Amino acid sequence: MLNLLRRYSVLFTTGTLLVVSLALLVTNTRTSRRIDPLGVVFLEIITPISHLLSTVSSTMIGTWQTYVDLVGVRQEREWLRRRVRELESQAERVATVASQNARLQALLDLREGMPGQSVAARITGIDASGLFRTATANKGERDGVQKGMAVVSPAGVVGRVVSTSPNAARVLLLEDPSSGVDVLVQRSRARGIVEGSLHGGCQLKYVKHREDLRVGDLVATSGLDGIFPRGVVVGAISRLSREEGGLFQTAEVEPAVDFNKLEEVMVVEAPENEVPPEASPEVPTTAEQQGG
Amino acid sequence: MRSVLIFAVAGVLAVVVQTTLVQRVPFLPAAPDLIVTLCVYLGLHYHSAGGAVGAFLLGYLLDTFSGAVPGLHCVTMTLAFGMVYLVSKRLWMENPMSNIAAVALGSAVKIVTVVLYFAVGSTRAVNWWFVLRTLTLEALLALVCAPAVFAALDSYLPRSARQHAAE
Repeated sequence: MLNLLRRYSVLFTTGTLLVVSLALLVTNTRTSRRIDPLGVVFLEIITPISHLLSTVSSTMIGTWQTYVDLVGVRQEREWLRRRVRELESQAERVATVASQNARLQALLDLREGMPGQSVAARITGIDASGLFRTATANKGERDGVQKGMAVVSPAGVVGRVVSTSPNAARVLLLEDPSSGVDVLVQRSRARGIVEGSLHGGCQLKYVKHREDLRVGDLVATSGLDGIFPRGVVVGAISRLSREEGGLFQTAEVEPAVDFNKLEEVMVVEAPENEVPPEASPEVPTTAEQQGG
Repeated sequence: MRSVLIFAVAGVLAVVVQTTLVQRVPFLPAAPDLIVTLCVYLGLHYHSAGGAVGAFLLGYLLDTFSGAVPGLHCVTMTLAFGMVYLVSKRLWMENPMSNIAAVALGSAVKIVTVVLYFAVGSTRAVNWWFVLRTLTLEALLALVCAPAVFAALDSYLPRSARQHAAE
């Protein structure tokens, strides 16, 4: 019997433990009270270890998660930077288009107010030398542009065409020393000639000594030179120069057009039989009125 | 004594891994049943009453930390040990594939026992899809982990120690 037990000790032990296990299972299933004699011991042994490992693993996972988050933040930051650049570029394009639209609209309004034939053109270049003030427009003879035509912008007088080719035209700007425009001072109706000067800007010349000129007076074309339509703003008087005993007085005129920012212009056909306006209420007479 | 100590440590580690570490691994659908792997190892290499007691205690350990009715895993692990023991007495099971097959056998015994318990002994309503899915996933993960667990135990428990224990 002892030999049998020894020979089949594993099976006997297994069977006994199986019976114990089943008894434990059945007892615990049938009663509401938990019969678990070794459970407390196991809990006491394993809980500290489990707590330690849990803490370590939490720390490691937290560290890893922080690293992953940082990588994510870095990627997001790069994405946001790219997006900001894209949006800035887009905003610049929109602003450019809006600005262009406004200029073209102003040009269109100007064209409607012009008496003769007119051609819209774009300034493609400025004078290659520093001594002269000319510009190149992208419209020429094929578009109806001819030598001697006036060039204006919504802001005022730009200059006149001095030479043409089939597809381009050279424009002598108002501030070139060789340019001259017959003008009227809007407030006093005093007549004179605006010429360019070598040091930049323009001068109002040949105004009779007795005429009333004031700083800020607006100067506009008279239409009597056979080139410019009447009433186009040339600029505003910025400084007076009256010599005692002379026949004429002169004044410095600040051009209404910023020649460094010229983009779109209108080439206008020379007017016929222009009559100097005695009074033109729609045109302001001083720079302040024009600005306001 | 060395074997007892190593199995005690292995059992504690297995429970801690199942209850703590694996739960923190994202996207892992279930925890591998490392306890059944240990019981299978006992059944394969420890043909002694000590092996049976070891399997029983491992089952008890699992009961303590699993929230199951005390005794359920005692039964499953003791049965798994017994089945693997009986098979290994008759078949040569000293290669990795047979080891994995033994773990599959032990896992199958566990699944059948637990399902039987829920079918017969439990008074609770059972979601069979959830029970079978969980048990199957645990068994599959145990199969995946088995070679590593066996290799680790082999490295700490040399063949001579195992043979001595079996004798």
